Amino acid sequence: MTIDRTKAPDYKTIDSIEYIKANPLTLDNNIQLFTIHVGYQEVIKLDFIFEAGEWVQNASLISEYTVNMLQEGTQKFAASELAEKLDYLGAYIYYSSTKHTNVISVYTLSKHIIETLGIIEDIIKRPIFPEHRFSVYNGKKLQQYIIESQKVEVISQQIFSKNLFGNNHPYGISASTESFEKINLNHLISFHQTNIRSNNCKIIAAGMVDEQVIQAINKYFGGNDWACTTEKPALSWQKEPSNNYKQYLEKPDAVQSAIRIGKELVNKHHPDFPALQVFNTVFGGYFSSRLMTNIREDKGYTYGIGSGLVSHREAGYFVIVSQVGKDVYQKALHEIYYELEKLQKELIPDEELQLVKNYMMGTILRNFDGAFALSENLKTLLEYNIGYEYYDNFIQIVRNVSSTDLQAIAISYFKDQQLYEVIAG
Amino acid sequence: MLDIKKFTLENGLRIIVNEDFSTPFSVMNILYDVGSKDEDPEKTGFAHLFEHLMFGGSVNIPIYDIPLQRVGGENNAFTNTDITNYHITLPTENIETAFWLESDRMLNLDFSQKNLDTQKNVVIEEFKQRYLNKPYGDVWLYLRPLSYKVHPYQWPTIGKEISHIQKATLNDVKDFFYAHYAPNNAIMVLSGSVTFETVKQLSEKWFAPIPTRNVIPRNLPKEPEQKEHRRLTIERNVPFDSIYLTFHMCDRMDKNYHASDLISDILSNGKSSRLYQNLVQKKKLFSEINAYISGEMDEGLFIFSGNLMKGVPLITAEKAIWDEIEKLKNGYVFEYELVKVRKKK
Repeated sequence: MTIDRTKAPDYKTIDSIEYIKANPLTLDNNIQLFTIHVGYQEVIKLDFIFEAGEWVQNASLISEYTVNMLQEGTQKFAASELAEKLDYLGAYIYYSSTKHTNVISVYTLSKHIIETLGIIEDIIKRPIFPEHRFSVYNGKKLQQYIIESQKVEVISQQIFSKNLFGNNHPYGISASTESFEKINLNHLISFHQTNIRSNNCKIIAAGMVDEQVIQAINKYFGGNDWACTTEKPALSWQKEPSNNYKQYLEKPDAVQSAIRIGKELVNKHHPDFPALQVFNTVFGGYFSSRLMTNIREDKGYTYGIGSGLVSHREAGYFVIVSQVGKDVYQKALHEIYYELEKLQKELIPDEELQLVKNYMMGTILRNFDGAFALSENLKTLLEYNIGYEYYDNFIQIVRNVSSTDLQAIAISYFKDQQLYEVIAG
Repeated sequence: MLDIKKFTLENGLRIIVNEDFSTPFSVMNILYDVGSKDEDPEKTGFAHLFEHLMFGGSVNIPIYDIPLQRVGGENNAFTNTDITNYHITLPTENIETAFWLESDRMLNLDFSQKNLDTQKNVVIEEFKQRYLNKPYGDVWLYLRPLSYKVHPYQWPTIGKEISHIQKATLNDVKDFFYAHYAPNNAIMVLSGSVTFETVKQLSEKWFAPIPTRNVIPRNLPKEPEQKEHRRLTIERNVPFDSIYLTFHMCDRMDKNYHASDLISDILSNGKSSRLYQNLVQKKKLFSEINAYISGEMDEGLFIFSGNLMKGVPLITAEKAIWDEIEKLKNGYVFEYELVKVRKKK
């Protein structure tokens, strides 16, 4: 049998995406619990999502430190006991602090769910933030910070955020060495008392979540013993964008320059967001993007270049990121601007747009594959307080947007717009 | 447990199938039994450079990525000291595209000077980004030759130096392909909602016509027993001191391999591990410390690496690591420690 290897096999495009929606429940204390009962592997993932994050902290590091130090000792258990017990159960906990939330994520075997919940309850409700653990943690974080601050990509990222949003806004500020000197235990205790509370909490349970698991979650977290009694102040922050659009920070010993170019842009709430995502994918959002094809695959100036739309709850931005040889950074900049202008001047060829749409549909399908992926999607919806119709609309726009639409998008968001440009290295 | 089925094509390609109908996707993974240990000591970094060239078009398909993205798929690859590995994830109904793409580049590449020149630059930028342009990035460029004097694990996969990558010629590249890229030097895995029957039929169609190649049997020098203590001090403009200790250990097929892995877990996997509890929390000597195994096929390394807290003398930090090693040698591993690290696996 001879086969024609020059001809691609037939394929099907993904025209619709079926996915399972979460089941909303309410615990006895009114905490919303979303269950995603999918899968056959004996693992459960729990996300405890607290409405807080960097938005509500009154100095850098507090939000991050508070959640990360939950595991450093509770009223019942010393830190070492907690670690031993969780390791022994084969459970993993991840603590994260985002701009608007604090999330405690737990992976555990279904058969150990009850024991794990008992430990998590103690960690979330009754941490004691021991002084000696705090000083070790703070010393460690300071050293990590000092090492990170030497990296050109970190330097450019910090300055870029500051230029977009200013130093008095949670989206613009970065920690400094001073932040590590100023932070103390009282900040953490107070942040925990105000924010890591039942009336500030939502829970997602994904995996083998049966009735027994739901009851156990209610038993440990459905009580009125961990509400916040004090009033939470409403906070608003003033954006202070910089007038300094181009910054170059020389780092004499660097062999590469880190580039960040971008501007403030709409977030997920805006109707143009899905079309902008398609635009961004064409421009710098996948391996065969315009930026990768030109600057890596044709010129060899970099190991990688990409662009992205970063959406936060109150604002969003567009950013192009790369590290390029120090000797070619100006050439790379020239090519970046050339590609951005080309999308304003010329229509995207049909074949390329179809390719991007197919690729994006594959990515969306992957993002809905499995219980844990579904719980990540739900987390996004909760973050923006939007429903599943967001995804249905997104998919419709990805499928139907035209080259003409995308050119209009490129013009309206980028024509004659000054971009912030930060080069470090 | 995974449900695994295996078969081998006449040309020697070994195929492993795991059916899993809980997902609309399938994965194709192809492992070539070639890594940086198979390189000429004067032409290092080649296996990895070659991995980049594998995306530059094959004999019948000018660009690799586009047809895959068109069917909703994605791919990646990596090279290490032992193997070069390529994987694709795509919707199962388009699985034949993966067979088409991967069989064509196993059959033959479209070797072009332009692609070689570009990818040499890309890899040099990768070298700079990962090894030169960040604090402590170059440690392994020194630690490998200190640990190995004979075995080719003495250079890192990225290569000994940038000049080796710069000097690569199209002929070098072709020789490398025919010496190592062959159905009889590869293992292919299909996993996902693809059936065993489909895999059999598509493998016969796309891979069976690829001829067996003459792969020269590997004959690597064995690293002799290390008889003396070796020490290297590197001064760099970095914020804090760091320390690395390596010990020779068994190969991956040895009966002690998994025991070594468990020992590294007892020492440093998680917050309840010994090094974290004793050297970070109690003695406050390190901001970070790890013990791990290199996991290589031939006799590998058991590695300690740590970043010291400011002001801690190197000698104090080093002694603390040796003390932990002595405790393990002379003392006792508690039953609960062993149960714990077993469960984590």
